[in-house]
Amino acid sequence: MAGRNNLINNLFIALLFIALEVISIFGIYKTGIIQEYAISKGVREVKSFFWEGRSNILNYFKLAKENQDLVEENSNLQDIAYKYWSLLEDLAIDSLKAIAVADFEFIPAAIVKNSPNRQHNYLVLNKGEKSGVARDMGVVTEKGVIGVVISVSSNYSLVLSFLNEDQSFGALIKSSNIFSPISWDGESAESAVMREIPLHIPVSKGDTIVTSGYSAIFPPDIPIGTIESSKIVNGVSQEAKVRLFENFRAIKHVYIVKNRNAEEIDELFNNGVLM
Amino acid sequence: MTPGTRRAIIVLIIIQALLNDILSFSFYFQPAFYIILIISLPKRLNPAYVLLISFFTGLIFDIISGAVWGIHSAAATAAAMFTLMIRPKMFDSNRNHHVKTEDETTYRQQIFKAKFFLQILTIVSIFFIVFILLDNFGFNHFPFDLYRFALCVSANSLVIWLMILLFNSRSKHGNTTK
Repeated sequence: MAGRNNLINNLFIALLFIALEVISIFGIYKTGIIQEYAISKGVREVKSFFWEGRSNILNYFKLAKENQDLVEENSNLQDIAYKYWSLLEDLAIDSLKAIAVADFEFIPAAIVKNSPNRQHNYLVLNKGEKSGVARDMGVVTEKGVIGVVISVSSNYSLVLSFLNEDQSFGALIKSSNIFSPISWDGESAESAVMREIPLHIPVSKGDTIVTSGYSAIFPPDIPIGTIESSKIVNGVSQEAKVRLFENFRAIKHVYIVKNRNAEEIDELFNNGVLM
Repeated sequence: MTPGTRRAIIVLIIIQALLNDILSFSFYFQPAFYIILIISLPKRLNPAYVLLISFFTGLIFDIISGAVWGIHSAAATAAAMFTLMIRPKMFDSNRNHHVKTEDETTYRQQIFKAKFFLQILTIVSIFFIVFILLDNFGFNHFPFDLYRFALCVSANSLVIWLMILLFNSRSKHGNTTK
């Protein structure tokens, strides 16, 4: 019994002590400027802690709905993005159409596989016979020539890349309109070599190289690159190093060039009329 | 301590409170001699009264001296609470021993004095821990606070100890002359 009374007495003393301290601190809060600021700051931090906790708990229960809203928003944004992409594709095709003659048609395709680091490089495109792709069609972008289709399946096509030592086609130095063959130099994916430029033709650094349009594969005036340097070879012709516009390592989308008159031209070749 | 001595202490405390602003010894030194009242309260006094007396002494000191209201009362109440907690533990060990010789009496008196000084030092320390914490509300100037604490505790403990010795010798002298 005495022990119980002692316990109650001690409890009373402890409560009285706490009450007196609280009164004192309240007095400090009311009259001390620094103390008021510090106490207010402390109280705000404690309140913020509880508010944040409450907010986190409420947000947790709202997560499912927010997730659903985000999915819907994402879906809407994807729709908008697709519309813009298709518009951009149309614009790009339009720019190529402006360059090309009416005989050429462009089929947009995505690169499924690309190998820019070998001596003989190839690309695989996601368009094949079903999309109207056939062997010997050119492959280009707005910034250059990519290669030639060498094999076609129903849904895919294999392209012999321009980055291939066996690949060569005709190009023009735009400033002088001189035609010469251009091919990959085999050294880097960023450069090519234009050979057999007549000695009397002035070759300047920075001159633009474009497709000639003298074949049924590539339309004319597609930019390829600029001349970086030139040298005389064996005293009979010049050779120019060309810096390519297209970055073969970053390329994702291309256009397959379809010549509407290809069959007619082939027929002429086969009949020996143009031989 | 006699009631007369306590009255003298209360008068001294009021004078100190009134002169607190004028007697500015140093930024680091805060006189708090009224702790002597808490220490000299009768041991058999109800603990609740000890707390209340300490609280109101501190509050009156705050009001008279123009300090932030509550700062001395909080520190004094904490010091009183600590006094209530340590006093029985520090002095209970002396009660159960019977004094046999004069040498032993002298020795026990010395021990008692040492313990009493230790008690004053501890109570004053508790007072200034609470006081400095409430005054600054943080540890931004910890080295200065430590210096302030050391100076306040040592100076106040010494003054209080000397005052108690003075009052005790005067009361003994008064008793012998009567």
